[in-house]
Amino acid sequence: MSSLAAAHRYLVDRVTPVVITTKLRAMAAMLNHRPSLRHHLRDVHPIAGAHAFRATIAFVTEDGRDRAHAVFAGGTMRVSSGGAAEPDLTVRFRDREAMRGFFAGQDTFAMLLDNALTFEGNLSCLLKFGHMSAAVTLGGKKVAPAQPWQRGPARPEELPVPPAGEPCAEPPVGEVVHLDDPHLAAYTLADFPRLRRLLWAARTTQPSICTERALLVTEHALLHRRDGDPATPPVLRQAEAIHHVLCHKRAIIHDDDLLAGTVTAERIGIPIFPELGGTGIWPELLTVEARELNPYRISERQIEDLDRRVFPFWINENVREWTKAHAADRTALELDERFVLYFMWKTQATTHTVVDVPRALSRGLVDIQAEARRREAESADPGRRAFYRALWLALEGVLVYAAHLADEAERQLREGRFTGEEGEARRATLTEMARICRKVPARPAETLHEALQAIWILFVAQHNENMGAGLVLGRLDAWLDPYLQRELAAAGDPVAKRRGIERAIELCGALMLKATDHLPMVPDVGNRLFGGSSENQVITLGGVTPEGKTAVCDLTWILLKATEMLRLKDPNVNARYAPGVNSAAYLRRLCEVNALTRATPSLHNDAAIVPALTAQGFSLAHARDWTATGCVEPTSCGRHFGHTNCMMLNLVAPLEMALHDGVHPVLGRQVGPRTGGPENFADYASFWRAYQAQLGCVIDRSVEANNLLGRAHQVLKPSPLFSALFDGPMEKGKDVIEGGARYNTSGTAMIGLTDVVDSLAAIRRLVFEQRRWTLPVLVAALEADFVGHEALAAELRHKAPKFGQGDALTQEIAAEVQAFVQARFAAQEHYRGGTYLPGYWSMSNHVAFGLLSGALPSGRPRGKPFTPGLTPAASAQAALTSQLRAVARLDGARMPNNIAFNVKVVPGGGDSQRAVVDRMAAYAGAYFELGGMQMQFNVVSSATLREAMAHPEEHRDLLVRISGYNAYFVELNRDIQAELIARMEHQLGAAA
Amino acid sequence: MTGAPLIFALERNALDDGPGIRSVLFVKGCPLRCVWCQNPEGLRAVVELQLNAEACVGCDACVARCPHGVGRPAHEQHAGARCRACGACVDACPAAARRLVGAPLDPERLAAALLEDEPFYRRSGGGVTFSGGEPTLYPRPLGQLAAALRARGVHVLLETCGQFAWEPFAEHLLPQLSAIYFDLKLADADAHRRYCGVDNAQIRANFVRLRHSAVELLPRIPLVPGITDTAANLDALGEWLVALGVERVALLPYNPLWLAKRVPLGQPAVYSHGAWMPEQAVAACAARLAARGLRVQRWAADATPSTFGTGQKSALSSLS
Repeated sequence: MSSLAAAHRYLVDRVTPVVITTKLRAMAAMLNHRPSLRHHLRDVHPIAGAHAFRATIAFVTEDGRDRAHAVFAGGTMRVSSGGAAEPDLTVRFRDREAMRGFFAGQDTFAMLLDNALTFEGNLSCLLKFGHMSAAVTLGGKKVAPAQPWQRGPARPEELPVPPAGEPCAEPPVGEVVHLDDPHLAAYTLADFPRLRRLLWAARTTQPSICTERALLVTEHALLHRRDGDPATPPVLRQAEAIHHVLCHKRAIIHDDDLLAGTVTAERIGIPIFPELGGTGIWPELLTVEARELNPYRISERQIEDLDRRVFPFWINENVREWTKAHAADRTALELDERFVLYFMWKTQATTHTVVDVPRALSRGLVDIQAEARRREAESADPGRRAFYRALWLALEGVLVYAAHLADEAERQLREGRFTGEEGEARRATLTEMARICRKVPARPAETLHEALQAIWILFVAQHNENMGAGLVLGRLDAWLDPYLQRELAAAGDPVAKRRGIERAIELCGALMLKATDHLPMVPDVGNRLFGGSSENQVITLGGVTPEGKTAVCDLTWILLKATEMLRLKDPNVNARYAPGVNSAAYLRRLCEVNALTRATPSLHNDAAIVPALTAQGFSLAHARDWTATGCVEPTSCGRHFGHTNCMMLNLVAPLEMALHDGVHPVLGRQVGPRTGGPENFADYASFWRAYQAQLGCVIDRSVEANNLLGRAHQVLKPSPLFSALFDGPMEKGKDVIEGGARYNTSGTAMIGLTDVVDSLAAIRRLVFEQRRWTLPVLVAALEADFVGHEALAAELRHKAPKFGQGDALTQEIAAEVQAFVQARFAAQEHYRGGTYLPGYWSMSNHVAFGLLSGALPSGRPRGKPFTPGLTPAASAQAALTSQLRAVARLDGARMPNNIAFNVKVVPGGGDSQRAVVDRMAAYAGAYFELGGMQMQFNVVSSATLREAMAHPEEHRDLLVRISGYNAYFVELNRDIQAELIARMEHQLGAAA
Repeated sequence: MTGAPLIFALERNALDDGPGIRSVLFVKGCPLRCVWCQNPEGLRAVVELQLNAEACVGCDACVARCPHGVGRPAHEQHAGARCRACGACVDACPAAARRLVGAPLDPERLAAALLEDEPFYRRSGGGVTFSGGEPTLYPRPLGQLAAALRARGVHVLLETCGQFAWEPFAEHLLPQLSAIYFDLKLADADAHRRYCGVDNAQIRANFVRLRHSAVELLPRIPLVPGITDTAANLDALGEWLVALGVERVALLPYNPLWLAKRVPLGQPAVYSHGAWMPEQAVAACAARLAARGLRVQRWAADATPSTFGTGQKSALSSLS
């Protein structure tokens, strides 16, 4: 240690304890006496009346040497040194430096993620404390951004028009009816000025926090707590809540809108779900507008609303805290809050699912309401009667909202001034909009426009019941094509038909742009965990019909055209390809759109996914009717409640535990069973058993946490609207969260498979077969992050086979790990009587988990990202064909929640567009022929990405695929940017 | 030639040695000794030791393990004369900085390895390319391998220097080939002897014979600054090709990266032009040939396989 560092350490050690008590006392003085801050401790609410913040928060360093605590009660804050009895929250600092950092205003979540800080007890208390601390430091004033928000050109006409693809050489028989050129190559964005204006607004508007829903849902909850019957069944209470929200939500129609309605009251709004993870933004309220990545606009009024009228009433009533408070054993939940072993999504959402859209379109909601009424009348069971009443009421809320939209269109017609040709056109649009909103979704849709408007209203409503995290738009081509066919068949002449096709392109584009009108609330730490991710509202194209015929139709090509023109990160477009049923021309077009947009759509193989679903008990027709969900996960449409992103599990953590007798190095304590230190393993088989024991323990814990959270949702947050729109709940008389859907599963994401396989292969080959060194020697090298062990590290990297190189050993190990995971999950109990389905994709958690992991036997150094999704390591330097074969050889039945396989390709400067697309189609087609399940091309060079890092303002629309979702590269944090750059780059062709 | 037929690399996902997605089999051994040889590891038909000094971590495990007592200095650069290429140091080296170049050309196992990528060949209009070294050194095993590939519908392309005995080639290999890329370097026999080690009589004769066979034949001229890219040479080659009724010729612009491959093999470089060809120079060569009515095709400058680190090549160990 240098003398300077020693001096620093001395100061930290000597000064910190004093600083903490001093800091807390200073904070108390401000909060207790400064009039502008006192409301943090004691406040008045129009419904809740006078109330005070009550909590005891203890602060302690890991070694227990420094302790202080604060008691909030009766409108004051009192500070004492020493420990507290039964605190609501204990904040534990790794060391004194972490303690100082916390009080100096470091981001709470970032410290949690780095394990500089851990906590026991109520997280919302910690978040409120974080906000009070920021308020004291900043004098209650929000921080202004360093630079004003500026994205893209000043006017819509300056928005660049991306080039179109080439015309289709040979339109495939049976997959095109009315389109002369299914590629629609004659059109560009310039032909759709309205879409261009809407796209410009989507690209250039800064997202804003929206408090509308949060205020309404809080208002309802407080009214219910004050006046309601405590015995009201949860599902009926929630129906009242969504009814309340939809009835009072502002009906908004923007200029240029073809479809009425908005998810929030802002142009691009961030809705807040205080009953779920909404309080996560609490500590950031004053700084979120100034943060570097994805800053949100927020007004003083909104800050005040959230801080005083929303969050205080959910501190104990949100899913996370309720679950902890009611769990007999909190261990599994506390492990979730360490971010090391797994990340549970149910604290935020249960979405990642899709409702039965065709049923709603063909029957209309009034008819579904009538069925609910009839079943209520026929049922003797009071619980069931309440359930059916809840379904009716939730749908009634949707109908009221639709009526309000019609009212709004009529108001604009009354009050607007419509002059000239454009004015007349707008008047006609509004008139049609009012007519449509009076008709759908109440009654069956009959035109494409009606169907799209109905879908959008239902989507808005779902987003106000549940947090939008992977709500699915679905198989829009298959569902909507019948409407288009009817209209085009009725078109009298070629001109009318052409107009009909152009109208369809515009309407589909309008729906996709509508889906950009909201974003999920992401605390700053989320920029690190799920960098740049939007909600991931999946549109799935192509594949087969329930009868097994091709589902590629005119509307498939139209949606591909819209995808090509708009280049949006979300909706997340996924394409199904059924070998032998879908045409080669269709696969080629998918690759062309992927090449033009660089990142979308991702490609899925029906021949692998459908059997994986039937193996899980789905009927063949239902398995064939699947849509991707969130990133890649298959869900059978409208009948399958599959919360496909219930957890993200770190497969590497149990490996580190197996090397340390069940202790995880970062957590620093016994997490798994004692399987023996590294000196105890005589052979690979015994080490493999230890890994299985640790992995099994982590899986069991993760399932325990998910089941606890699921049961909390059953009490706190049933989804009557989902239930009304699903196939199953009506018949079973149960909410989807109780198992009402026809199929029930929970989907998981296993992260770091390649890292585990390469590590196990190195251990088996080098330690136990070749006996190059002992396991304790290897562990010592890992603990030293290979410093002083360079030869050993080189051997790990070069002398052991790596997954993707085509050798038998890694293939065998991968199969063994997957078989174990599959069997372990299959054996689990499930809170709503379903099954757990493993998948292998990672969003961007391979970066976050990697940060918390030590050096690995694969040769990967400490802290580096894992491999994304299910992708061979770049360091394996395997040829693309070998990689594709290796991934294709994995058994799809063991990955029913799908995979994300990233392939970064770079066209040579001398290649024609046609040659590039031909080659991509050859790779994808061969991969699928070999049984591959999913793949996603990033068509971009590392050089371009580096250039974008240096000059982000010139690359605002550079779309990249992370692991299952798209993002704009410049919105990613630097760790994820670096991971994308480090991915292996496959040349697609010769240089110029 | 001594010993069993050898290969020195199998490169998968190759996009530069013929149409489509291909695998390239590099055969070890060559009758020519071109001073600019791009694949020096393919020259000798024996197993050789190759050292990648950059990957060396300086642990001296190789010295400790060497049964022939090759001392340190030799290991730092190259094993030298006492080395028997026994492979003991390859096994000892933790960093894979050493490898033995040369694995048996086993038609059955190679057919299995190459056919793994059959769907990629079929869907891209690709196939398998025999390159080297000089594949025609081994007409029987390669003919057998090509037959196994053709039986599965795989396109098989030969890249040759043209220096081979006609009869065994025509009997065993030629009938199995889909296409031939035939390299023509120097028109003048003396110059050919000087720069390539042998004169060009047999090469010319073989080219003429192939002109009269049914196989698709593409002559290629490697452009080597100061040697093959001279006006006199290009004129002479062009004239000869036109006289034979050839319509198409390909140019391979000089690639200096091969220089880095000499050192690992302990081979001194005689010719050491270290720069890429300027675009105008290549264009001038093309124009010269085009003026004679030939259709000139440009080849990518960096289309040669490298030995270390690019990763596209599967290590030979995965074949054994």
